[in-house]
Amino acid sequence: MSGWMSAATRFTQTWVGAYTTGLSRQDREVRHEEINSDLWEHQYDRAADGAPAFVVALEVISRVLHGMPSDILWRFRMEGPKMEINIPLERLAGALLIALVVMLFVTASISGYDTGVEGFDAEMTRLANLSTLADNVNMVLRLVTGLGIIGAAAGFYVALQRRSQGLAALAGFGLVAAGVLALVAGALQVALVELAEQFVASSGTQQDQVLVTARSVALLVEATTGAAFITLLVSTYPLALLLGKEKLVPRWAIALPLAGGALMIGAGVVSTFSNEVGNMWLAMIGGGLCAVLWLVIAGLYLIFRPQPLALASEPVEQPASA
Amino acid sequence: MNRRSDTLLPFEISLLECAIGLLRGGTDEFYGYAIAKELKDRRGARRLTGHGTLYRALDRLSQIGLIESRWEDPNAATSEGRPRRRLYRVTAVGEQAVSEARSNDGRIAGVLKGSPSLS
Repeated sequence: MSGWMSAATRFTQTWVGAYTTGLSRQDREVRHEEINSDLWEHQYDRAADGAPAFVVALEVISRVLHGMPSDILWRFRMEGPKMEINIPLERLAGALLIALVVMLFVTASISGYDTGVEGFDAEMTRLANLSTLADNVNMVLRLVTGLGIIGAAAGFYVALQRRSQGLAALAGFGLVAAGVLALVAGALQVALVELAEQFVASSGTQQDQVLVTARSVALLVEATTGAAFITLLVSTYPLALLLGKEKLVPRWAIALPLAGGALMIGAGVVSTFSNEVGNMWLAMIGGGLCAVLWLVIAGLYLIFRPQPLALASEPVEQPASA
Repeated sequence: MNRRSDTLLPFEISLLECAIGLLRGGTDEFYGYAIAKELKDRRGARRLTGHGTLYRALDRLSQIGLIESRWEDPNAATSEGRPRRRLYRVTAVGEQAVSEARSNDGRIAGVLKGSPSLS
């Protein structure tokens, strides 16, 4: 089979896999087998006509694209009148893992002020000068992220509690805590923007008082953001254990969060006994990246892991004609 | 999706007509790609029917008993080095339904009356 045709076949099979996800094994097998037969006949027939492989591949892709609306309607009919979407819980867990990566980055991006005594007034001026749109986007993003983390906690618990109630509850509890911390950090950030606006609008002693209060709030924003980020990272460990134990993701992948945890603990120890903070931050970032890498690998694996499809060996019975 | 179960779409009528044409030409069973090619040739279309359109129509016609299907013997497919085909055949009700649909704006309620697959 040519590279063109392989790609077209792969595309077709991926689409069939996507829209038949969650149907009964028999329904999925019938549709897969019928489409595979069609692909083979199409390729064979057109090769006999002497059509170039890339033309046949384009024809196949065109047929897939033109049939997509009907595929979706067919899928809904198969689900019945309630149009209930029956997505395997493992794929839901995979999608949530990928969503967690995004949430991790949004959570981490909240911080970043120069809270040192020198130069904090410049930070306040910068914050006050942000446009209302930027402030609103920031606020909504943080609210959505905080609620999203809490929603992900519920999703993980529902998806995985049948496999290990203890680990699923532990991960869910950690994620709820991280979500609440992220929401608190977001609320404090809103307060900080208000204080920044008060700061530029005031002068003299009043301005100094606002600056002191704002600096305390900024330190709290940093602390809660850091806590949310670390709680979120730590919550990935019970997930990694659970998914590895249940062989839902390759077992070797658990080395990543373990290495990440070791790096972060090492960074904590170094920071306790040494004044050298450069290496500590490198170790912290390395630890975080290991966890993020695991989230990406595990998430993609769970989403795209092919579901075993044994080809139907018996003819499929159809309703008898009148 | 809320389409009446006693009404055929123009594409479904064309598909049935095509299958009946094959039947009268001596081919009593057809498979997905073969009917897609036949439809293309008969309608003078530029391209083959999309997979989704074709197999959704075949599925619906099977559900209401206008066609029936079986999987071919795996040994026959293996000996030809290809995947086995799902073979379809137009039923007697299917043949009547086409005539009624043509004269009744797609409606086939009269033919389907008493059909167990609709009750």
